[in-house]
Amino acid sequence: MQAEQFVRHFENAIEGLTPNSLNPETKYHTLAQWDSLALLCLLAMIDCEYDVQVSGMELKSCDTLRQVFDLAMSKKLATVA
Amino acid sequence: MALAALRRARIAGIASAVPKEIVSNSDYTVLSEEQREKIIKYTGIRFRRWAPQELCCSDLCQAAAEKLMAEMGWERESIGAVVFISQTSDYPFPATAQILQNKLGLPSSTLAFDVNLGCSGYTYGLYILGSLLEAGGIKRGLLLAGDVSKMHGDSDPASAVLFGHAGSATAMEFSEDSKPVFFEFGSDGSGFKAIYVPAGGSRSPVAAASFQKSKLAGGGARGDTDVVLDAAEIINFTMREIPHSIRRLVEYAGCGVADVDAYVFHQANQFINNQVARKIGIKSDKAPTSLYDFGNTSSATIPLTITTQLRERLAESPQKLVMSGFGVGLSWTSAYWDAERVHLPELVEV
Repeated sequence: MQAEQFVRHFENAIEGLTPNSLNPETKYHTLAQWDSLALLCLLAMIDCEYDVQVSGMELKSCDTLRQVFDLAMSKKLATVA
Repeated sequence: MALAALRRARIAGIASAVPKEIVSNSDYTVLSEEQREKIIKYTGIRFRRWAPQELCCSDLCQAAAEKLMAEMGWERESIGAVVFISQTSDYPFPATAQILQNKLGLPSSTLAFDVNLGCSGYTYGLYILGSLLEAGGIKRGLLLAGDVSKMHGDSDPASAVLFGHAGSATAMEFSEDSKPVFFEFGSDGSGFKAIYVPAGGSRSPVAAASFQKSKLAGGGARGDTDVVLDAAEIINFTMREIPHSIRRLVEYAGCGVADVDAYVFHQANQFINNQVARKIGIKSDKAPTSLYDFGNTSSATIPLTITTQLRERLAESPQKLVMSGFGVGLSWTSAYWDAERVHLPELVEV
């Protein structure tokens, strides 16, 4: 459920995406809407919704939205620990 | 992070100057029309002022200072300090502040020096000059801040549509009965490569190869004399440090976030400023913008925004302002200012 919610936030953050059109296994960087501005919107969304930051370099290791979500959660846990 | 306050130095007037020539991001043909409109919407920047080859930042600052001194009736002999904050000095050396001391007709007793700062430079400069005034030996000073940088090559879309040219002059004076101006500072040099020019300094002198441009993945090309701008790192830096800086500052100033009348952020781009506003819990209309007409003018963005967007409000009533400069360095300074009785001449066009 949490990963699904992450996908909804992603759809809201990136201009041109249709609500409920993506799923956690979506390879986000293959989307037509994915570009350098979309990257910044994704970073801002993660900061806004999860109060944690991931770098552009870290995102390069993520193919799917689920992997991005897992990365954000692991960093969140690391800051709490 | 450090906190500090000026208790015996007053900001008495601010003037800004820009070149007459207006360039439009709609004409930036490296990008498609669709890409241009998307980036204009994201950055909030439609137009920028652009200086001809012979016009330097110091010329714009000089024009702003002349206008300000004339309107305030400040005698040139009464000025004891000039601080020039810029990344585009007239020459590698000497400092441009000495040249300005002479051009402005200021006395030979003037203390004058340059400071190499960009986005955070204006608020830094207020503290530097204010601290000199508080020491008591100097009664009046001029803070001259801005940039006329052409190091962001036309062929790199990441930076070409962002930067404009402007200069500013701020009059400060020693005052026993002024309200305090509060500051919060920080530096993070580990991130210096987020905004920098690789070649041209002692670390990497300019060579013939410095001018060779390499193609960029997102379109366009860049050489080592052009600015490198890593937008992802900048947005993370801003979101990590600036909301926290502002919250600490207003607490130190003894007020709440909602008590501030206007937040004058460095004008890098509208998306970043909207994120900062959201994170500190204010509506975007509390953060005036000059981006649409002027773009990112480096250390001049805060004075330019005050003189073009808050001039009427400040003429009507005192305003509680937070000014926050952040970026290249990486560095930041936020300042809380009870602005009143401040001279704000009309924008000067050169």
